[in-house]
Amino acid sequence: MRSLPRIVFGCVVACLLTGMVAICASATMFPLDSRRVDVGAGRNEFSKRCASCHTVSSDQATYGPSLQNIGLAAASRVDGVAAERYIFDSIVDPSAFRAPGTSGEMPKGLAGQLSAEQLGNLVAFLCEQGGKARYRAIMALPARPQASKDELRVNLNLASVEHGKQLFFGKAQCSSCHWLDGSPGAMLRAPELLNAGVFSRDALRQAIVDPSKHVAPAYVESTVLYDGMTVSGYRLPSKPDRVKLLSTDNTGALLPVSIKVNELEPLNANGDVVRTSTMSPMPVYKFAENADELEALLDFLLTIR
Amino acid sequence: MNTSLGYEPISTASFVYFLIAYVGGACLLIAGVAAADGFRKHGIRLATAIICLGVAVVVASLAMPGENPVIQLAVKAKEGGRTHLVMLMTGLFSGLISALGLLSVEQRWKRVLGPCLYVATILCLFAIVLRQRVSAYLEIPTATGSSGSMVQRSSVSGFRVELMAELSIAPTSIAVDSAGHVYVAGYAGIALQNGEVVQLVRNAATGTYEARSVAERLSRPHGIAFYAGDLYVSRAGQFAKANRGKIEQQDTGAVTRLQDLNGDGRYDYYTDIISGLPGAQTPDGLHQNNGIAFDKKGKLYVTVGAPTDHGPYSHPNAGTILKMDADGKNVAIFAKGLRNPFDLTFGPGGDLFCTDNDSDNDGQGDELNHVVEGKHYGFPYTSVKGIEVSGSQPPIARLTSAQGIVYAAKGSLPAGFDESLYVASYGDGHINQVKLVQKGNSYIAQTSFFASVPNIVDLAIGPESTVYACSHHDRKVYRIVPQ
Repeated sequence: MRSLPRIVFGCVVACLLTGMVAICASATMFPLDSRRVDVGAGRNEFSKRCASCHTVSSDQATYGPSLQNIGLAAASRVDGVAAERYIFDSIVDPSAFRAPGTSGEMPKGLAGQLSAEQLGNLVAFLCEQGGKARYRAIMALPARPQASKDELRVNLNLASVEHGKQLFFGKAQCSSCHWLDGSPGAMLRAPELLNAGVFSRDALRQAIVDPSKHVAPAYVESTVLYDGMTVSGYRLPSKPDRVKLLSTDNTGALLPVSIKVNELEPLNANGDVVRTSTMSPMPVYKFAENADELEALLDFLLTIR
Repeated sequence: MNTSLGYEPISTASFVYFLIAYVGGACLLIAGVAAADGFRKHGIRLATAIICLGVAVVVASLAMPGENPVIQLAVKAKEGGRTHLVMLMTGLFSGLISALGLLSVEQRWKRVLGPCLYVATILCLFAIVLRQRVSAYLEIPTATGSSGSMVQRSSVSGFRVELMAELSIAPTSIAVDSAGHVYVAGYAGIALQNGEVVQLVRNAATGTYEARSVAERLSRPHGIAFYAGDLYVSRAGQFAKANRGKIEQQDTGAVTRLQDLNGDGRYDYYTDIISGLPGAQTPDGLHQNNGIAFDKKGKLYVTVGAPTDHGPYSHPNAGTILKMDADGKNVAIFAKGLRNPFDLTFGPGGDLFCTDNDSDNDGQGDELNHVVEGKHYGFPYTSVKGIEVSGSQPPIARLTSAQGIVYAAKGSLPAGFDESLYVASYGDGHINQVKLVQKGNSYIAQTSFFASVPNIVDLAIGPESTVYACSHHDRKVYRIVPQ
């Protein structure tokens, strides 16, 4: 009979040794660090799913709060909550925290659209904004909760959904700008609506009835005067000595136009050469007298997710 | 099954879990004994066990690409269901027993057993991985190699499965004409971009069947049917045009009527009776107009797939069954809300039935639908998580996958087998007999196994109670005959 301490010692050593070797050996193939988290992919997720309301390139709030230095700010928002966890919780459950001085409501269920990996990448990208992503902390984030799905469950009527689909692709002409087929460049002309279904009915209704209430930064119309003609379109990134606009030609096709700043004619006494519109380029559709058309369109939009 | 034609590799997960549990268990016991009994005494055993553990985990990582097996084991083994748990427990106990064998000094054979098990598991993993790696090169489109004796063929008692012919084309659809001749349509050519229809002709001298090409240059033929002596082929292509900044998939789907004017048995006069159907469009790239069938009044029914995996689509005919005259006039949508209806047939009382590759997000399997005029079968709304759309028609049955479908009219098969639908499941290679029990305006489906044919995509019933089945991947035609 060996003494009890020796047996306990043996068990502890056995567990430690086996566990360590197994984890170390598997880590040679699957490093548990930066290589498992892809900040670049997180950036793509951000521009696809978040950029219509949030910006990381300016400290001015657009529709949602600016996330320019969120990596730094998130660490100090709530005591005892690390930056990674704060950002993660804010995406998974938008009502968890409220940033100082903000109102409005971020749609629930965005996290449901993302795999755990995509969610981790997105958190990493946001942590990099003014801070540094700690990969281990991101790997340690909990799995996204499954229960939230039922909260979002909506009951719709097939006839109404089909009616809404007909409006979308037909009379209301939504599909001439909003593409639903995931084509490359689908977001150039108008926001992609592939996540429309995660927004609340009220938020979608407002966006249709009063599109100018909130215009996503990428779709603010700019106007310049060149050679006696006004040219308008969305502002595209360009060299400082040029203004680049995504305009449309006379057939309605998108047409990128690049003009030297010093060739532009001033639009007012201050010498401004670019005027930005506060109105949304989206026309306000006149729904038929009864409200069924609008509700049908909303029913259809809620199925897109 | 999500796509109509895809190949599933063998999963390595069970072996990986076994291996890790095995070496983990063995290492635990050896390390424990070594620590309790003195490291010096068991030094070599301990070092060997640790090296074996390291090697095994690395091998397991390689064999389970994309996932860290140790983490998977810790957090997700339960999700794999009973198989994984059984493998885990078997592995653990085998490991412990092997370690006991290694630790015992008296009996030498006990020491050999453990390492043998270890090496065997690793070899198994290598064999599976190697098979997956190598098969990608073996399955080149021009290869006509057979699975030979590896393929197990079986059927319910009273029937036997026979190999009828080997083809150079990869079949998608099979039909029997009024004279009892068997025709098969399929992908052909070096990159499967050609489409061919062949007739199986019996060689009187040898008694074997040979394929004779009767029509070609029909890309992606997914359905054939005979009417008034002419052959109708449902076909499509894949072609995109950039238009005003947008890459647009063209509507290339068509049904072509093939006539044999000079009577040489080869079709020489081709007419598109309908065109402009959504072809094999991206993003899915596989869904298109598939099976076709004529009713007793000579109306043609065409299944048309929707080009998306689960999202909305714009083409008005996508995801529908169209009804039209035999010359393509008076086209009307008969039913809609289908994802990739693959084949259709007329059952009892002239009712229409179709298979639909509509395994939704929860992976419940493909649908067997009783198609009623004017109804909506739910796609894409039923595949969207989190919404409940009321008013769509539910399927009468779900099968692991559902491709070709045929109805055995009374007397066409022996009693007990006639008056049933037969559905081909590509996924598990089964033909299922579906008995229909009338309930109100619809049916209750009673599904039972009929026969097993690997990679089956379509089936047809001919004279003398013969069921013909074609196997896409194997490029073979089988027949199932009463014994």
